[in-house]
Amino acid sequence: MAKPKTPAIQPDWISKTLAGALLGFALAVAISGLFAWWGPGGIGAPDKVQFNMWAISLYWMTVWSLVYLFRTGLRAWLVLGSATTAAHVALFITPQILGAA
Amino acid sequence: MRADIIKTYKTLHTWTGLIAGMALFICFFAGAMTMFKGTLDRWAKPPGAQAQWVAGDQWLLLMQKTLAAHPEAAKGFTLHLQPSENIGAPLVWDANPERSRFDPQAPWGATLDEQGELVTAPFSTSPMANLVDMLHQTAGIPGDGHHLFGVYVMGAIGVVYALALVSGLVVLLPTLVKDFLALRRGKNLKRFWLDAHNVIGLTSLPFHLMIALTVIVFAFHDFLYDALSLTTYKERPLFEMHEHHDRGGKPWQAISCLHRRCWLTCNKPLRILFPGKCSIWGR
Repeated sequence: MAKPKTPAIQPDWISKTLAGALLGFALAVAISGLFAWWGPGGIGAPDKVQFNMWAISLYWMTVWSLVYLFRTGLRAWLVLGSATTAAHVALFITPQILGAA
Repeated sequence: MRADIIKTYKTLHTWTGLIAGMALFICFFAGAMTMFKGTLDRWAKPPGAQAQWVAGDQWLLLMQKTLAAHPEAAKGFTLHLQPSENIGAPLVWDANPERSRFDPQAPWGATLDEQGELVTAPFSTSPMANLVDMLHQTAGIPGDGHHLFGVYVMGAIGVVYALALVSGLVVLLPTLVKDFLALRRGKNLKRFWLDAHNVIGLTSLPFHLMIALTVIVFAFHDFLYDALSLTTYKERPLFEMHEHHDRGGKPWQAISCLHRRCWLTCNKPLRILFPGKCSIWGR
């Protein structure tokens, strides 16, 4: 039998769960914020805040429930941490790009 | 799919399912009963003398006399056009409008006697239907602040529940086609129960996902709004400020509104909410 190419994923319950809870939430807020700016109607669309608020739970739970697919907790923190940072940087500079600061 | 993924998600599914399931059992059961909240409320009312109801041509008189005798009712009252077991009088107002959601109601009722004289009295309501609703929202966990404490707990349970749903789907994915709608009653009774679990779980998955995600929002919307405000909307207001409607309506406006709206369509109007811009509610 051939050895599996990739090593088996480690459970790392605590670190992965914390990554899903904390980084997952921060990433979900950033995704929702980016959609608020770039999505249909832009930041000023009436009542769009409702969609954006409700959708956070969807983004958050998607990230959190898939975080256990990372091979280790450390990788989960590194990858999700980078993604979260990148998303928040993008969200931060979006008003300047759109000239709406 | 790789065995290590299945193993991880099976563990996740077992424990999240066990933890969430116990609290959700209470909330689901009470929630199903809450669908019949109005009926329960009527059922729980002990039989007794039904208050005198008023005919359609006396609604205006009843409203005017009540407002003259009890000006505090102008803050808001409900005129029930049809009698019902759980309603003590046709015109009902809350004598303690400053109460929080958790204080007991202090309903007063007004009606007209045969001579057309105003009769007002406090009446009691059965707490049962409300208790079932509270069980649905909190699983019976006591305590309240700005929100009920039990609602926060159930919000956290909603998170665990969402994890249980996705992990269950991941575990089932490799054998989904083979196992779906199969209900094998062989020697192994565990197989039978697992098949039943799978077919019920998968067919109701969209509803369960909707419940899990909305519970999280019901519990934590304040924090979600704050996070969006902090990161995205900044000084932009989250809610559009509408100019306040003139809430000082007159009883005759409610009547004329009722007639206008119900001329052809509603043959059985049930409630007028006052003050308000022509809000006629069915039950």
